[in-house]
Amino acid sequence: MSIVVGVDVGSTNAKLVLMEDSRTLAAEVRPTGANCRGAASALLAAALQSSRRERSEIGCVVSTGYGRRLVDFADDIVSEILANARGALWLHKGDRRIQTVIDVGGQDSKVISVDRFGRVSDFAMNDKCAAGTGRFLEVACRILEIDLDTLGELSLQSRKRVEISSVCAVFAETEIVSLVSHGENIEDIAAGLHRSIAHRVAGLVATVGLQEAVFFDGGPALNRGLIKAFEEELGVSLLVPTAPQIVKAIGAALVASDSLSKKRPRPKTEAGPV
Amino acid sequence: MDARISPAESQAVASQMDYFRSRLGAHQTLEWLRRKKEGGRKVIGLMSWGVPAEIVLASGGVPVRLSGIWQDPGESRCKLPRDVCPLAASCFSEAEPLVREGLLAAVVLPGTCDWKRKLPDMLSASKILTLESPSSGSLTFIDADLKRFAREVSLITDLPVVTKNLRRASEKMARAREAYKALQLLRQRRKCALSGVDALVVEQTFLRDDLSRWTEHCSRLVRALEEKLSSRDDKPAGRLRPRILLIGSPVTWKQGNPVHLIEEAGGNVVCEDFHSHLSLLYPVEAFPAGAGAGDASLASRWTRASFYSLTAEADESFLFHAIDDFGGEGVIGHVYRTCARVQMSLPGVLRRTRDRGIPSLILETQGDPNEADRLRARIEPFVEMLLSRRRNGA
Repeated sequence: MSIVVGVDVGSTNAKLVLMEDSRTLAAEVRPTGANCRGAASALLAAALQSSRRERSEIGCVVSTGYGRRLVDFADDIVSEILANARGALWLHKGDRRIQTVIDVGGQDSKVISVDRFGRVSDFAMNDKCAAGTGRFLEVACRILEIDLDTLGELSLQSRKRVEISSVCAVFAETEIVSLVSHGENIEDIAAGLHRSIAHRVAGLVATVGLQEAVFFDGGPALNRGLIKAFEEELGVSLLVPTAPQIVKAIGAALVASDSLSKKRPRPKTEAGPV
Repeated sequence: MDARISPAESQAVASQMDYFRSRLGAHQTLEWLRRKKEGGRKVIGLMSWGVPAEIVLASGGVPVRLSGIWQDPGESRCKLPRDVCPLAASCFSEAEPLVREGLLAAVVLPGTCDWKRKLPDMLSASKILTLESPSSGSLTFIDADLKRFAREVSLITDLPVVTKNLRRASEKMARAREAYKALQLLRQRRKCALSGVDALVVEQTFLRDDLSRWTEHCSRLVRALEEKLSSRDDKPAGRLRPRILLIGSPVTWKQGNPVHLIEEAGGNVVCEDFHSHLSLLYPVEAFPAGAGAGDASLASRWTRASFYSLTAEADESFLFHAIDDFGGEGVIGHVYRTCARVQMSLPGVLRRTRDRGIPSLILETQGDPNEADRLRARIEPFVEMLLSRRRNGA
């Protein structure tokens, strides 16, 4: 019963991490789809199989994300903000202390301010509009008829500044169609899309205040073009983990680890570099 | 964590709350108004908390509040323009059954908000009386407008508003306000006395029953809460909950509104200023005695009821006083996407509360129960953050 599980059921993808004694045993990602419960269960089965561990070895499961209440095998839930901050601080082993965490998710984006003790001291989330989120990029890729994975690399080849000025994802769709019909290059449009998201998220950053070091996670943080746009917009270099989409799942697993430690006479989980 | 802070363990408190909860249903209001109409009284609906109901009472009319937030706006959505303000939709849901039954002799539509000016067309109601949006810079105008309003009400009720009746009605309203103010002062105590949900229930039943009866129950509730707070064996269930102030656009819908969600997440809404409640505690002193149909308090309250009457500095002053007095640990601003005024003013006000070291959060909604999950994703970490700050002595 020494294994802990963190599950992050997001609007686009569900993520699960299996941890034991501060070691990641397995990490799985799959589309959430219409069945949150099914997605979470499938992830757990896959993670157990890949790590060759048994369900009976799991001591605690904590879920987070939009579908956190639908994970029927979870022992507890934790908010995305807390899970994200926890995961980011634990993952970052460098000298520079993380003070700001930016998370761009499938349907929302968040900026978290972390104090010197590693606690959430402030946060801001976007309103309900999809602009400034991963969904915005998905919609754009559909119109541009390109794969989401190639969007970032394409944007890095941009030679001309193209502006996407709409603050609404629906209107931005029309704007992109218009840009295409005017013969603008896809590379330039892709870079414009990234700048548009960066500009919106910069507004959130201004709400909580920008303090370095800045950690960037969430699925869209895999996009190099978006990272570049953020760095230009904010004027700072970002710390981006190798697997940015599982940061919240790791944070949830760490919270599960805390719960497990409290139940035991002797804590086995080492604290991360918080 | 237990979602309810309702002091259900106190029998006296619970029995008083039963009265207030029983007044929330549309059926009870209808029954009460039917009896009044059968008794020959004229029922006049008020579309704002701040409308000087004293004038209606002084003319023998029965004021009934239609500015509620308790009706599900979804019920009237199919009859209203698509993007109508949820508060307008809620008020419409509240007024429509009364209009349909012919219970309302008149509806008072104050110009405190743009949609209220347009509601007559939507309601196809009985007689519409208007009250212009007051402004602190136009005392003479307000005085004249309230006098005109009194004359119009008199024409409907066939009883002129004379000084003696107005004084008596003002005293009756003053007693109600004092009882309500006493309840708000109890909420300032650090030992949690009342949940935000229950406080909202009390507030929402104002002018939905006989005013003297409501006042009596409010006073009894205050006494019961005081007894509960002074008893040694009282266990303050809400003591550890972060104390949150909720301001901005009035919340609507029964379940899943921010007050419910904040308390479900472990916070305690200790103060809300949707309907200018704070004016009871921090009265506007902008008016000299004699303004407003001979009663300064009418004009004063009417001025505060208007979104447009006070400067941003005055709004902030109210809020900062409230943060200090209620021991606020965080402020949540609620705004409808359709409410331009609050959209414009709230970010600045909340930015300045942050500057004072009080965390704040903006919740933008459309008054739709389906938004509950999205709101939880914001409210839960906010409450967690406040708890963490408290644990660490912030």
